[in-house]
Amino acid sequence: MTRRILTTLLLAGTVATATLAASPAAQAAENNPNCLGARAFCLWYNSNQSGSVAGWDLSTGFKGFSNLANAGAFLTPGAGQGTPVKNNAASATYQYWGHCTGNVQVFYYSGWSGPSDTIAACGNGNLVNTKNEDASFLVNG
Amino acid sequence: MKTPRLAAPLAVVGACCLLLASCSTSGGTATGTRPVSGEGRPPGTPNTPRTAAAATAATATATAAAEAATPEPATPEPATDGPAVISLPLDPYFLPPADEARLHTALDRLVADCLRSAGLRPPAPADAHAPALGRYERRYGLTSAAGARTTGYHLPDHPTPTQAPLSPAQVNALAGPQGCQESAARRITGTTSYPGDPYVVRSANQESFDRSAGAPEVVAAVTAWSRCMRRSGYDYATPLRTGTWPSERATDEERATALTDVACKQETGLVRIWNEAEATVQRTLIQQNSIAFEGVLTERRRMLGEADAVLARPEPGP
Repeated sequence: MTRRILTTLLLAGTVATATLAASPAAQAAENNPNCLGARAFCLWYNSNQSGSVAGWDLSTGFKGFSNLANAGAFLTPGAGQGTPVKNNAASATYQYWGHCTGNVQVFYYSGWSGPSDTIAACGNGNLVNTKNEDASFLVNG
Repeated sequence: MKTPRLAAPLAVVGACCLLLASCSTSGGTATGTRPVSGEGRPPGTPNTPRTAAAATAATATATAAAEAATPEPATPEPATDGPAVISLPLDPYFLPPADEARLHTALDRLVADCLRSAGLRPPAPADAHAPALGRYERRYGLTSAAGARTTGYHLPDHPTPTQAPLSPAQVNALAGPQGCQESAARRITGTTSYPGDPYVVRSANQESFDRSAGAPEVVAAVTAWSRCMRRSGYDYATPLRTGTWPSERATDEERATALTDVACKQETGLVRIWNEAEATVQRTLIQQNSIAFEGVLTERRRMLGEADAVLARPEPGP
């Protein structure tokens, strides 16, 4: 993975890398590291919702989608803590107490393109298409 | 967690995994290796996002060359505003919206009964909203000219709807392994998760994408698309690598790139060619794994039967 990231950065070029690092969007990491709250989407480092977790509070003001290049790292104690969320998640949870409608799509590529995994509201599951290839996600419903 | 993808064919994946969206087996492609990979491992030649400096340099080079030879072709314009309509043989195996709604009606009933039995009021039903993107809308990259013109590769904001706050007692009753929601899920799906797309379907969905990406006609179409993009000064090896734009909102450069991208897809027929190649792969996968795919439909019928049994019970009074 490290070699892959380094390769990507080298390919992207110095200018693009500097732009990303300086962008305000690059600081817009997940805002709900413990995956708490009435409506939250969470990515887990390991399968079966285990290991370190990164979460987004969807209950207030979330715009409905995220490119994970702008996300931070898995923060909670456990396997994978400190690892970037992008391209390192193995499972997901879409917690939505009392309203189990809609879903979250996790995409293989940035910009919500390519194959995706769909996690139903009030659902959980291992990522099949996007395991360790999670690049962006979109909340539907 | 980094584990190699399984090399086993779909047919030998465990029976539970064939049917359950929340299967514990991970990976699971038939070939084990991917002809196309994620963002860190582009297929073919590496591509570089077009920076302003690079674009200027590329344009200058192209202009000089054009002046010395033939006139530079104009940036192509997309012919239509609508996204490409794509269908694939796997479609019937994804959980249809109507069936999902029926299952959810039963799940809502179970949750409401559970809360009432605890002396609590069920939450008001949530509004349904159309998905922001169709399942295949960006499968082969951006295809909507209208979207390209307005938001580029970004998506329009669609803030999550507000919901009536739940009381702590309601949350306590709903949440956790013994909570009303998981109990309802177990009754209908047999898992801790609400219904979703089965593992075998999601796995084949990826497998077909990977295999089709390596089909000669798709490779040729991607090459033609890349050449078309380069005519306008954009250096991308694949249409799946165009979506990384770090700005919070679409820039003029992003919109111009997106419009050219859509136009080049139309000019080269890339979406149609890729879609047809992928459909061929999916038909083969479905045929080779017919028992597993029949199992998907059987399991769906079982869940719907459970849902109908729940809904056949008399509804409790207010």
